[in-house]
Amino acid sequence: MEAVASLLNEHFVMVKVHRTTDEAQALGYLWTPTVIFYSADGIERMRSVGYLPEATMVNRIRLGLGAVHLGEKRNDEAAMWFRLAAEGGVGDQRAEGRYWLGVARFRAGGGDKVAWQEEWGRLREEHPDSEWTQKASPLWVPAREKPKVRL
Amino acid sequence: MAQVNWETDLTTARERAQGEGKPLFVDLTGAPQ
Repeated sequence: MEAVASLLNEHFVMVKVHRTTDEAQALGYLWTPTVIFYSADGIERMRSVGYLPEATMVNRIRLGLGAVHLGEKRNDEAAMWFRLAAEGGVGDQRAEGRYWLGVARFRAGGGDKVAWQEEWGRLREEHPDSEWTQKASPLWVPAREKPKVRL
Repeated sequence: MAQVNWETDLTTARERAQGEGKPLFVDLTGAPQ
Protein backbone atom coordinates (compact mmCIF):
# COMPACT_ATOMS: atom_id res chain seq x y z
CA MET A 1 0.00 0.00 0.00
CA GLU A 2 3.01 2.24 -0.59
CA ALA A 3 1.31 4.44 -3.18
CA VAL A 4 -1.82 4.87 -1.05
CA ALA A 5 0.22 5.76 2.03
CA SER A 6 2.31 8.29 0.12
CA LEU A 7 -0.74 10.03 -1.35
CA LEU A 8 -2.51 10.19 1.99
CA ASN A 9 0.50 11.37 3.96
CA GLU A 10 1.27 14.09 1.44
CA HIS A 11 -2.20 15.55 1.05
CA PHE A 12 -4.41 14.74 4.03
CA VAL A 13 -4.91 14.57 7.74
CA MET A 14 -6.09 10.97 8.23
CA VAL A 15 -8.25 9.43 10.92
CA LYS A 16 -9.60 5.95 11.57
CA VAL A 17 -13.10 5.71 13.05
CA HIS A 18 -14.45 2.34 14.20
CA ARG A 19 -18.02 1.43 13.29
CA THR A 20 -18.95 0.74 16.91
CA THR A 21 -18.32 4.33 18.02
CA ASP A 22 -20.78 7.20 18.40
CA GLU A 23 -18.65 9.11 15.89
CA ALA A 24 -19.33 6.46 13.25
CA GLN A 25 -23.07 6.70 13.83
CA ALA A 26 -22.90 10.47 13.48
CA LEU A 27 -21.16 10.07 10.11
CA GLY A 28 -24.17 8.15 8.82
CA TYR A 29 -22.37 5.17 7.42
CA LEU A 30 -24.18 2.33 5.64
CA TRP A 31 -21.43 -0.28 5.55
CA THR A 32 -17.74 -0.69 6.19
CA PRO A 33 -15.23 0.07 4.97
CA THR A 34 -16.29 3.58 4.02
CA VAL A 35 -13.86 6.35 3.19
CA ILE A 36 -14.95 10.00 3.32
CA PHE A 37 -13.14 13.01 1.90
CA TYR A 38 -13.64 16.39 3.55
CA SER A 39 -12.19 19.74 2.57
CA ALA A 40 -10.31 21.63 5.28
CA ASP A 41 -13.45 23.63 6.06
CA GLY A 42 -15.15 20.40 7.21
CA ILE A 43 -17.49 19.96 4.24
CA GLU A 44 -17.89 16.41 2.91
CA ARG A 45 -16.89 16.27 -0.76
CA MET A 46 -16.98 12.55 -1.60
CA ARG A 47 -17.46 9.14 0.00
CA SER A 48 -16.86 5.59 -1.17
CA VAL A 49 -18.26 2.38 0.29
CA GLY A 50 -16.57 -1.01 0.04
CA TYR A 51 -13.10 -2.50 -0.09
CA LEU A 52 -10.80 -1.29 -2.86
CA PRO A 53 -7.51 -2.91 -3.92
CA GLU A 54 -4.50 -0.59 -4.04
CA ALA A 55 -4.59 0.55 -7.67
CA THR A 56 -8.29 1.33 -7.39
CA MET A 57 -7.79 3.07 -4.06
CA VAL A 58 -5.07 5.29 -5.50
CA ASN A 59 -7.49 6.53 -8.10
CA ARG A 60 -10.34 6.89 -5.61
CA ILE A 61 -8.01 9.19 -3.65
CA ARG A 62 -7.24 11.13 -6.85
CA LEU A 63 -10.98 11.54 -7.42
CA GLY A 64 -11.39 12.61 -3.81
CA LEU A 65 -8.63 15.19 -4.15
CA GLY A 66 -10.28 16.47 -7.29
CA ALA A 67 -13.57 16.82 -5.44
CA VAL A 68 -11.91 18.63 -2.54
CA HIS A 69 -10.23 21.13 -4.88
CA LEU A 70 -13.38 21.57 -6.97
CA GLY A 71 -15.39 22.24 -3.83
CA GLU A 72 -12.92 24.94 -2.80
CA LYS A 73 -12.90 26.48 -6.30
CA ARG A 74 -9.33 25.47 -7.11
CA ASN A 75 -10.47 24.32 -10.50
CA ASP A 76 -7.07 23.86 -12.18
CA GLU A 77 -5.87 21.59 -9.37
CA ALA A 78 -9.18 19.72 -9.51
CA ALA A 79 -8.74 19.20 -13.25
CA MET A 80 -5.25 17.82 -12.71
CA TRP A 81 -6.49 15.17 -10.27
CA PHE A 82 -9.53 14.26 -12.33
CA ARG A 83 -7.33 13.90 -15.43
CA LEU A 84 -5.07 11.47 -13.58
CA ALA A 85 -8.12 9.39 -12.65
CA ALA A 86 -9.57 9.61 -16.16
CA GLU A 87 -6.35 8.38 -17.72
CA GLY A 88 -5.02 6.05 -15.04
CA GLY A 89 -8.11 4.86 -13.24
CA VAL A 90 -9.61 1.41 -13.09
CA GLY A 91 -12.92 0.55 -14.75
CA ASP A 92 -15.70 3.08 -14.23
CA GLN A 93 -13.34 5.38 -12.33
CA ARG A 94 -12.03 6.48 -15.71
CA ALA A 95 -15.52 7.57 -16.74
CA GLU A 96 -16.07 9.30 -13.41
CA GLY A 97 -12.77 11.13 -13.80
CA ARG A 98 -13.65 12.22 -17.34
CA TYR A 99 -17.08 13.47 -16.22
CA TRP A 100 -15.62 15.61 -13.46
CA LEU A 101 -12.71 16.74 -15.63
CA GLY A 102 -15.29 18.30 -17.92
CA VAL A 103 -16.85 20.12 -14.97
CA ALA A 104 -13.47 21.30 -13.65
CA ARG A 105 -12.33 22.56 -17.06
CA PHE A 106 -15.66 24.32 -17.56
CA ARG A 107 -15.24 26.16 -14.29
CA ALA A 108 -11.49 26.75 -14.70
CA GLY A 109 -12.19 28.51 -17.97
CA GLY A 110 -14.88 30.73 -16.47
CA GLY A 111 -17.64 28.78 -18.18
CA ASP A 112 -15.57 27.21 -20.97
CA LYS A 113 -18.21 25.24 -22.84
CA VAL A 114 -15.76 24.05 -25.49
CA ALA A 115 -13.49 22.38 -22.93
CA TRP A 116 -16.47 20.96 -21.10
CA GLN A 117 -18.04 19.49 -24.23
CA GLU A 118 -14.65 18.17 -25.37
CA GLU A 119 -14.31 16.11 -22.19
CA TRP A 120 -17.89 14.89 -22.22
CA GLY A 121 -17.54 14.04 -25.90
CA ARG A 122 -14.58 11.83 -24.99
CA LEU A 123 -16.64 10.38 -22.14
CA ARG A 124 -19.30 9.32 -24.66
CA GLU A 125 -16.74 7.85 -27.03
CA GLU A 126 -14.66 5.99 -24.46
CA HIS A 127 -17.38 4.88 -22.02
CA PRO A 128 -20.64 4.54 -23.95
CA ASP A 129 -22.22 2.20 -21.38
CA SER A 130 -21.21 4.07 -18.25
CA GLU A 131 -23.67 5.56 -15.82
CA TRP A 132 -21.47 8.69 -15.95
CA THR A 133 -22.14 8.99 -19.68
CA GLN A 134 -25.85 8.74 -19.00
CA LYS A 135 -25.53 11.47 -16.39
CA ALA A 136 -23.76 13.69 -18.92
CA SER A 137 -26.07 13.01 -21.84
CA PRO A 138 -28.81 15.59 -21.21
CA LEU A 139 -26.23 18.38 -21.24
CA TRP A 140 -23.99 17.11 -24.03
CA VAL A 141 -24.34 18.43 -27.56
CA PRO A 142 -22.18 18.03 -30.68
CA ALA A 143 -19.41 20.62 -30.92
CA ARG A 144 -21.11 22.64 -33.69
CA GLU A 145 -24.32 23.16 -31.72
CA LYS A 146 -24.88 25.41 -28.76
CA PRO A 147 -26.01 23.78 -25.51
CA LYS A 148 -29.73 24.28 -25.04
CA VAL A 149 -29.44 24.18 -21.29
CA ARG A 150 -28.57 27.46 -19.68
CA LEU A 151 -25.79 27.17 -17.10
CA MET B 1 7.51 0.96 3.38
CA ALA B 2 5.52 4.14 3.99
CA GLN B 3 3.16 4.07 6.94
CA VAL B 4 -0.03 6.11 7.12
CA ASN B 5 0.05 8.45 10.10
CA TRP B 6 -3.44 7.87 11.45
CA GLU B 7 -5.15 10.02 14.02
CA THR B 8 -7.48 8.05 16.28
CA ASP B 9 -9.80 10.83 17.40
CA LEU B 10 -12.15 12.49 14.91
CA THR B 11 -12.38 15.81 16.73
CA THR B 12 -8.61 16.11 16.96
CA ALA B 13 -8.27 15.22 13.29
CA ARG B 14 -10.86 17.83 12.26
CA GLU B 15 -9.08 20.50 14.27
CA ARG B 16 -5.74 19.55 12.76
CA ALA B 17 -7.17 19.61 9.22
CA GLN B 18 -8.69 23.04 9.76
CA GLY B 19 -5.55 24.38 11.44
CA GLU B 20 -3.22 23.06 8.76
CA GLY B 21 -5.58 23.89 5.89
CA LYS B 22 -5.49 20.29 4.69
CA PRO B 23 -8.33 18.02 3.62
CA LEU B 24 -9.45 15.27 5.98
CA PHE B 25 -9.58 11.59 5.03
CA VAL B 26 -11.80 9.43 7.23
CA ASP B 27 -11.44 5.64 7.14
CA LEU B 28 -14.59 4.25 8.72
CA THR B 29 -13.71 0.67 9.52
CA GLY B 30 -15.16 -2.44 11.03
CA ALA B 31 -11.80 -4.15 11.41
CA PRO B 32 -10.79 -5.21 14.91
CA GLN B 33 -9.03 -2.42 16.76
